[in-house]
Amino acid sequence: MKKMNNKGFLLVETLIVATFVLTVLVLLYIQFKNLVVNYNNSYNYNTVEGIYNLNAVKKYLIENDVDTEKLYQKLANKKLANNEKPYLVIYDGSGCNKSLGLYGTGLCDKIAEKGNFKKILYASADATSLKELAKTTNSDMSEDMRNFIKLLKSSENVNRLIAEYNDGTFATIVYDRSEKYSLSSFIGRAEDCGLYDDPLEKGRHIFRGDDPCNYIKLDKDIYRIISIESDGTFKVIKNEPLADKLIWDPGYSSTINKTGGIKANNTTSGTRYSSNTADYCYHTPMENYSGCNVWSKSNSTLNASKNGIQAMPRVLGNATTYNLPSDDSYINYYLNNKFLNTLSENVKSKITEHIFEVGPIKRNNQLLSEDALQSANYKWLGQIGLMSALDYVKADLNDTCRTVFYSSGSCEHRNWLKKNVYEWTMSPVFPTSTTSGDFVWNISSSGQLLYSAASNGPLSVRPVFYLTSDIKLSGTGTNKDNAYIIY
Amino acid sequence: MKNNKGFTVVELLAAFTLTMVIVVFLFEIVLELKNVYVDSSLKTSVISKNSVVATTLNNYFKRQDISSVSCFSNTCNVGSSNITIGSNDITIGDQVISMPTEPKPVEISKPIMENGCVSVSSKYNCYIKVSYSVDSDYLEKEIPFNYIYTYSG
Repeated sequence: MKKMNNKGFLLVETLIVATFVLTVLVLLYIQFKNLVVNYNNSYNYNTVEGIYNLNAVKKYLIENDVDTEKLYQKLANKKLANNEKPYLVIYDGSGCNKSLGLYGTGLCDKIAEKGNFKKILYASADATSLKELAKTTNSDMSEDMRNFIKLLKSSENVNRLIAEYNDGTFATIVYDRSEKYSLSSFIGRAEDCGLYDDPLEKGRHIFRGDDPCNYIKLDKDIYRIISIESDGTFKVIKNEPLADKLIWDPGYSSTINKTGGIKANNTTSGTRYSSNTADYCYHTPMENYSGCNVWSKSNSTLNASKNGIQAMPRVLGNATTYNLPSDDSYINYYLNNKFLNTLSENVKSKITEHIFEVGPIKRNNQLLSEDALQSANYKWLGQIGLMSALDYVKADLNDTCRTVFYSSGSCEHRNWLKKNVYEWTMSPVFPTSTTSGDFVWNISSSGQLLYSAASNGPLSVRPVFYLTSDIKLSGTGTNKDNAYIIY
Repeated sequence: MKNNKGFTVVELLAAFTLTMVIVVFLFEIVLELKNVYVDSSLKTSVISKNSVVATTLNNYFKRQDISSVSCFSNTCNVGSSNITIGSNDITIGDQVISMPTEPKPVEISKPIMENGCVSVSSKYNCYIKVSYSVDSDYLEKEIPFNYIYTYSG
C-alpha cells in the first residue's frame, strides 16, 4: 500500500489564509487610496493665492454695495424653506449673476476673469444643509466642488464664499456683512462714543471729547485712535508717552546730535545748522541756533501735490524758497529708527506708510480752516510721526477751544489728547522772519497749544502711525481693559 | 541508497522565476515611490514659494504708491519700484524670491503681468494680475500661480 503524503495544507486552511490576506490587502488599498486623495487635496484646497483672489471678490461685494443687501437678506440667519438652496451663485463661468445686480458694471466679470475663477458661490451660514446638498448631483456644483464642500466643518455656521478655479483648485473664506468697514461698528454708536465727522475733511472721522471709546491694544501697549481716515486707515497715538523725553531737533547748546549721538556743547557740529543764507536751516547768530523746524529732509518733504521738493519758503506768501537740509529732524530719525525697532513684527505688519501733514502754521490767531490749509501745504510720507497741532485742536469738545489755533486766553479743554505733560506735535510754526525757522507747536501740561524752539525741552513724545484699512476690530474700546483688539 | 535532500531543477527554476517576478515588481514600486517623492517634494516646495510670493505681493501692493502702475509681459512698474518674473525667480521691489532647486530645479514659464481699470464709480475698480506657471521634467504637471489685487484707481 502506498504511504499517504501528509505534507501540504488542507483546502480549508488555504482558503482561510487566502481570505485573511485578501482582506488585509483590500484594507491597505482603501487606506492608500484615501492617502492619495488627501495628498492631492492638500495641494488643491485653499491655496494662499486662491484665498487672496477670493478676498478680492469679497472686497468687491462689500465695498461696491451691489445688492449686498439682497445677498444678506436672502441668506443670513434665515431659516430655509423646503427646496430652497442654501447658496447663491455669484459667478458661473460665463458671467456674474445678473439677477443679483452683479452684471453690467463689468467690474465683477473682470475680477472673475482675471482671478481665473470657474465658479463662485455665496453660501449661507447653514453648513449642514449645504453639505447635505453636496451629497447629491447638483447642476451648480461639479463633483470636485461637492467633494470640497463635504470637507467643510459643520460646526462653523458662517456665511461663506466658495470658489472653484480653472486650474482645479478650490478656496473658501468667511463672508460677513458686518465686516463692511470696521467703521460701521463706530458709526452706529457715534453719539455715545465720541466719533464725529471731521469738519474740515470730508469722509474723515475723528474722536473728540473727554474720553471717547477709542482705546486699542497693539500687543501689550494701549493706543488711542485719533481718526478714521477717508481711505479707511486708522490714525493711532500711543496712550502713554515714551519713557525717553526728546528734543525735536538739536541746536547749538544741545548735548545730542541729529542722530542721537553725543554732541559737544556749544557747537553746531552734528546739527542741521547751515551758514549759508540760502538754506532753510540758516540762523544768525550761530550761537542762538535752536534747531531747525522742518520735519523731513530735501525730497522727502512733499508739496501739496505730494511731489518731493528741495526748497520751501520761510515766510508765508513769500516767493523766495530756501534749500531744505539733507537730514531729517532728530525726532523723525528717532521715531522711525529707534522707536520703530522696538515694535514687534506683528504690529509693524499692521502699520502702513501714510501721508502726514507737516506744513508750518502761522501763529496769529487765524481760523482753524486757515491753519488746516497751511498744514496741508507740505507733507511727508512715512511710518511714524506725531500728532499734528490740528489733530489736537479738533479733538476738543469745547467749541471755543476749536475756534482759533493759538490764543493767549484760557480755554476749558475737554480733550482726550490732553495728557497733562508738555509734549511735542509734528507741526512747525511758520517763521515770521528769515532767520527764525526753529519754532514747533507743542502742548503744555494745562492743554494749551504753545510753541517753542526745536532744541528746547526735552518734552514728552507720543508716537503716531496709521494702521492698515483692512484690520478688523473686536471689543468696545471704552477703556484700557476693554480696548479694541485686532483679530 | 538514494539521496532525497536538495531541490529538483524544476523546483529551482520555479523558485527563481517567482523570485525574479517579485524582485522586478518591487523594483518598479521603489522607482515609482522615488518619482512620487521627487514630485511631492518639488510640489511642496513650489507651492510654499508661491504662498510666499502671494503674501509678499499683497504686502507690497498695500505699501506702495499704486497710483501709477504699468504692467507688460513679465514686468510691472509700480510707483518707483517694480515686479519682475524671471526664469526661476520673482523680484518684488527689492525682494527676490527664488524657486527651489532641490531636489530638482524648476523653471518659471508663461509669465503674465497686467493691470487695468474699469470706469465705474467704485472703490476698487482697478486690478493688477500676476500669473505664471512652474514646470519641471520631474513634475507630473505644471503648477499654475494666479494672483489678483484690486485697488482704487
